[in-house]
Amino acid sequence: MIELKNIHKSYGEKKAINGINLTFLEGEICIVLGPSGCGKSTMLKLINRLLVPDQGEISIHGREISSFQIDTLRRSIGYSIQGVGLFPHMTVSENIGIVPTIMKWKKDKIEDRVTELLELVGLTDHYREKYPIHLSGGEAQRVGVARSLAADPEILLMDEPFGALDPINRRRLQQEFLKIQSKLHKTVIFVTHDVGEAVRMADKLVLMKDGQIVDQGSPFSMIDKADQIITTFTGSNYAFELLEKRKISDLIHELMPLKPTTHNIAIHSKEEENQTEQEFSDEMSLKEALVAMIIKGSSELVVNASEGRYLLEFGVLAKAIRRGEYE
Amino acid sequence: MERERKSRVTFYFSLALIMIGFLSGRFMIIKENRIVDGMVVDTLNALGENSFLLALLFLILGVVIIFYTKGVAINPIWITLIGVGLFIALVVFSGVAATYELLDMGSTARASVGLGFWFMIVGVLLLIQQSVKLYATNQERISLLILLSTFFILYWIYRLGWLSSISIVREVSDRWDLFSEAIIQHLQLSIASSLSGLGISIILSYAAYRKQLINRAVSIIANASQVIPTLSLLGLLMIPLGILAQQYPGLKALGISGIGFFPAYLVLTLYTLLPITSNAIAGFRSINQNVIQAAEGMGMSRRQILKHVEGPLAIPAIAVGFRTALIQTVGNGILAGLVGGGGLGTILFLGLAQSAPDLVLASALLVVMVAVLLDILMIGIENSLRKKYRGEFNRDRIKEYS
Ligand SMILES: Nc1ncnc2c1ncn2[C@@H]1O[C@H](COP(=O)(O)OP(=O)(O)O)[C@@H](O)[C@H]1O
Ligand SMILES: [Mg+2]
Repeated sequence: MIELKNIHKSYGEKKAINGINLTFLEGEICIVLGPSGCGKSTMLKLINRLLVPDQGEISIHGREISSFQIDTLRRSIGYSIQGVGLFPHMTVSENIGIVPTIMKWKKDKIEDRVTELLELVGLTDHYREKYPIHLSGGEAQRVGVARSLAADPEILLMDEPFGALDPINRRRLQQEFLKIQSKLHKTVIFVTHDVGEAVRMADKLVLMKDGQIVDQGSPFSMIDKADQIITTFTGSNYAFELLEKRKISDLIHELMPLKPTTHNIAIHSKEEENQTEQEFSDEMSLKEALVAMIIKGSSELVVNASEGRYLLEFGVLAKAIRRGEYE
Repeated sequence: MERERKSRVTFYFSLALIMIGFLSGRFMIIKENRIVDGMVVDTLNALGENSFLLALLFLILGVVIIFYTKGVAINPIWITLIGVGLFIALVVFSGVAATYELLDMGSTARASVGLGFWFMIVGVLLLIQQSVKLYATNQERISLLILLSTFFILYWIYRLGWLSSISIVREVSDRWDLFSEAIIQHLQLSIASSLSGLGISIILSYAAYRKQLINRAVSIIANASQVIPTLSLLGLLMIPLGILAQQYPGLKALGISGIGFFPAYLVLTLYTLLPITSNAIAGFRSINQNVIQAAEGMGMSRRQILKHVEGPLAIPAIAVGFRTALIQTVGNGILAGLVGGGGLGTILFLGLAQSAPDLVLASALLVVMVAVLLDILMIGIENSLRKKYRGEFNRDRIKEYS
């Protein structure tokens, strides 16, 4: 558990962090969301003591961090810095293995660890000997994540780790990361200004603005405040992104059951077959379902679930997020 | 494009130099002895039939260059080869010519190559250097190869005795003991002071990079050391060092005195500080701050960061500074001759005092040769360092996300 109590931090005149109180729970992904310049990076640097707060206390497992030996503290915290910061003169494997190297691990143990981590972040072994200059933005960020995991730290600080990726690769890496996290159960503090990313990954969401916490909680509980604030700085709509957190199958009890299909479709002519209603899987997210309704120009979708066929009506979809709020 | 234009200009310029040298009429000067005025011999008279051969080679070279610059597909390596041929021919022919000119003269008579010869030599060297740039990706290796093979061919010709009538060659070979000792002293002096300068500069530059206050002090010291002329610094140091040595015999025993090796070494070391520190500081400064913070954030200590990150990333820049300093020191090292510090300067100033132009010329040429050789060697080392610490290539191309 990491606790921040009444933290203040200024750069000269500029107040970057203005009275923050926060608790990060073990094994949770906490996403810190806020506009550029609101103090997200500064907060992370305070936690691994790259910066020292002007006021306030930060503790890990109830122990004030200034009482740790600084190198020990930092080695128990994996940090992937904004902008990756790979060492340009080292190969990928040297980059990933640097912390084990300075911790004087045995050579083969380091090599094994590098292999393991490359696999974990989805890079093949032939990346080992490449230099950072020969990596794409996404590959570099994967290496950055692997490097922060090298000494198996219990805490991960990730500063916009997927910032350089195009939407498709970004989404893929988010999913991979969630998969990794389901195995490793790290305490993750993940900074982003991408609303979709925040909503998709958060166990807990912290909303920041001008060096202060505006709101925190589960993604669903924040719909009112978040929508006002986030829409002003990103233009992307928080509520709409939230729809992605829910699948049609989550609403299955609200859907209207349909009669099972008569199994004579096979003898229909081709034209008739085209006229039959298009069916959607219940694995679809509500966001995709809404988009499908818009494309079809209809307020209903036929859903094909394992339990049978159902009709999803717009009215049910529209209430789904508000319902999630109370979960 | 710019590069092509530049090489065309250089080519025509060196052709012109060679032509002027050929036609100038001052190919060789024959003297009865050291004191009397000499007799000037022009190219045709000196070389006889060989001059036609020389002219032919020159003509071929001219044609090749004209075709090359007009865009005909000729491998520029031919220009280098013909250039080297011309160079060797020039030296051999003048050696032979000198021998003939001196045939029926006394043993005090001497033949020295004149301005015309030097014009041609300079033209040819310029041409070779420019042509190498056109095709060599690792110039230093090709240059070293050409230099060494030319040197060995010349040495072989010398051993055959064909050059022994040229006064400058005779001067060097008669006093080879003196010259070889001077070369070694010169190398020792230059390398010792450059290495000391390197050590001091690395410490200074790291301190300056870490601490703003020290940075200001270092830049003042380094710049000041460059403003005072080397010569006056040598003079200024003679007195206090001399007094020091007199007061403390212990220091004298260590080799510290107003004249000799020590003051020369001290002054030359001082002069290496600016080029090395300024390059090293620039090297340290150009390291991406994000990279340093990443290193700190993963729990590296200051020393580990220096060893694993800052050091390797700054080394290529430091090597550039060291090369500049070394070459500069070889040149400045001549001044050591004035304070009894040894080296080629001793012979050069001896030549000046005795008005023996051949001595002056020979020692100056040797200084140039030493400098060129060291330069090529250092470029090679620099490139391999850069390859090892690839950071130097990559730094400005590292993608920056924020
Ligand atoms: N080293 C610094 N010196 C001065 N001001 C800084 C420094 N780093 C950040 N700031 C300022 O502090 C504020 C918060 O910065 P930062 O924590 O990097 O924000 P974020 O990561 O949310 O974009 C910004 O206004 C930024 O300009
Ligand atoms: Mg930031």
